Amino acid sequence: MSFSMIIYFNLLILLIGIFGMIYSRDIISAIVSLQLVVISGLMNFLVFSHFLYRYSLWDRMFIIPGVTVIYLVMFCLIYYLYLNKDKLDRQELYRDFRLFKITKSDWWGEDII
Amino acid sequence: MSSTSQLTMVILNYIGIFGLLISCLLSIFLTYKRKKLLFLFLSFLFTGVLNFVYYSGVLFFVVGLVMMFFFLLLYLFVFQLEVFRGQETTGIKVNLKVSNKDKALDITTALLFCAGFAYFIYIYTSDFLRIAKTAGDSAEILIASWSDIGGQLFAEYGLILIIVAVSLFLSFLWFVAIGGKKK
Repeated sequence: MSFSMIIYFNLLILLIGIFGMIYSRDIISAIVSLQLVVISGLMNFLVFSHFLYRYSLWDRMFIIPGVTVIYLVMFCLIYYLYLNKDKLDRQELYRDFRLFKITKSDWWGEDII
Repeated sequence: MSSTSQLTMVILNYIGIFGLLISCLLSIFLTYKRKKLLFLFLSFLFTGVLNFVYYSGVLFFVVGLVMMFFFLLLYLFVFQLEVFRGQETTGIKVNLKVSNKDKALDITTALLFCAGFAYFIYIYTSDFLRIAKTAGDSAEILIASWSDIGGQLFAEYGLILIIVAVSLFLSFLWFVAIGGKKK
């Protein structure tokens, strides 16, 4: 496979992730979409290193601490939700959750005075 | 590298890329959350296959260890959320129905944003990718081992400082997470 083709595949995965982040209505889908963005970034680093900087170790040096930090932060986030929400609060997480919620009043101001 | 090995690598590359794409699509568009997580996990396995294809198999083990903890916790969390699906124990009535007009507007906005984003990335990278296409494969391959990475890590002191700073930041987050429990 060619370099550009793999890069465009990665771009597609990134776009699926961004689409999911904008469109999803619950917190788990938003987390899954974020994972896809992380996968796309990881693959981009590997592909660039493999095709262009073959004798360099810097991609691995970056990926190991970088991805580890991302996952540990997300682990802390989920653990925080898990510990600090009781049963009823967890039920709240099933309700409408939008990462980016833009309503009409964000553009035109408050319509009820 | 022999031609048989090269063919195997090409086949593995195709399997990894297409498997990754399909499992990513399924993990986004499935509604049942545990299946969603299953396909997300499969997408990480395909990423692992691609790590091996690009001669960075060490990443599969090092990064995979941390990922496993995250996945276990996320799966437990989702499992507990699934118990409360469709139940109203708080007594608060919330209208979860979304009108078709709102749904269409959401999809259109998301698609337009993604199309614009993709257009700009394509415009600004197409020239570079045309030049980079000429970077051919060479016969010599560097397969990174943990000892190479460890050697590089201890040769560059700045990296260790970054890792120490990150560890401090993460332990701060960890103590916030376990210490902030509501009474």
